[in-house]
Amino acid sequence: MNCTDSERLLTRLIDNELDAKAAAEMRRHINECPACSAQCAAETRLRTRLMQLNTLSASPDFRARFWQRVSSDSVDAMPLWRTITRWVMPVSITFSSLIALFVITMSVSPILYAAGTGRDRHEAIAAACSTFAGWRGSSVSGLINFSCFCDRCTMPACKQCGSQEKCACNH
Amino acid sequence: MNEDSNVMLAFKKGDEQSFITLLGKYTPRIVNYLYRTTGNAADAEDLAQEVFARVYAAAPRYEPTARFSTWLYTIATNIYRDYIRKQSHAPTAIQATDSDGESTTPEAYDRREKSLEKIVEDLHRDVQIHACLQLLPETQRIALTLKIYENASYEEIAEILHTTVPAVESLLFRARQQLKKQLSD
Repeated sequence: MNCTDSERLLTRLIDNELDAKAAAEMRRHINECPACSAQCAAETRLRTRLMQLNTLSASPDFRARFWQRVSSDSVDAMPLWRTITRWVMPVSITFSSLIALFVITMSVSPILYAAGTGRDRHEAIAAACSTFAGWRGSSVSGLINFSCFCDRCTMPACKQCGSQEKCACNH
Repeated sequence: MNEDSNVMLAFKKGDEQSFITLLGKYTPRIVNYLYRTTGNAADAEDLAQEVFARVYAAAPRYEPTARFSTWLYTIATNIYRDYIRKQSHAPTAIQATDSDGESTTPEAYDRREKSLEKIVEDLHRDVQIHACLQLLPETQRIALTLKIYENASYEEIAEILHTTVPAVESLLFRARQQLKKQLSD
């Protein structure tokens, strides 16, 4: 090792960032070289002086102030994740469940109707459309824009459905 | 995964006592880190409060991708840098008073039985070191404080400062050169 290497690695030696082999080589060179030895002594004195800086103690009410701050933060501005878990998710789950229930009902009820009355599936759908037509005339009028669910209808309106959407369906 | 990361994960799962454990362990270190970088005891405590408030709020998202101390000091460093941006950019001498004008230095220290002369000597030395630290460029000051006082490794300092190990070596070398010059004047 030479003085150029020693100068480059001196900071690492002082900071304990050299592996054992490199550190041993450095120390060997420093012991043999007065210039590098003086430089190492200056770095060590600086570190010692910096380490003498007094330690600050946190004020006795640090923790109390911290918990007060956390409490007021949670009242003033609930963390977004808590807002989501507390309000948005339950509402979303409920709404999604209602939609799923509606879809399942609309899918299953014609089949059940057909099975119960002996009428075919088309007639069952027609009956369901008729029900919705009635709903449409009520308070949900204008809000639900549906077309006939009848799969034989090729035109907008269905005579058998009673839907306001006209279809020329020869049943 | 180190022990503190496990404690933080326990807090993430709802164990508030775990957070209290971390608060007790790291309050002195974070307060002193911020005191040595800001030079102001009152500001250091306010900033430390902010650090732990962020840790508390970040618990649900916490993932132990690094050592807990590295993550914590990264938060503290970011908060310190935000603080610096709000302050003047000119190097400041040590601020020995808080915002109310009350002197913080004599009461803030952990005093033991000392003679008046020793207290004055200690204060003079501390003021001098603080002043020299404040005259360092911000990044050199952060790197040196983390190395000397928090015993962080070069790799940890590089991670906290979002830089490389050779850059950290360079920062520390230049910081020391400047301090040697100032403290010998």
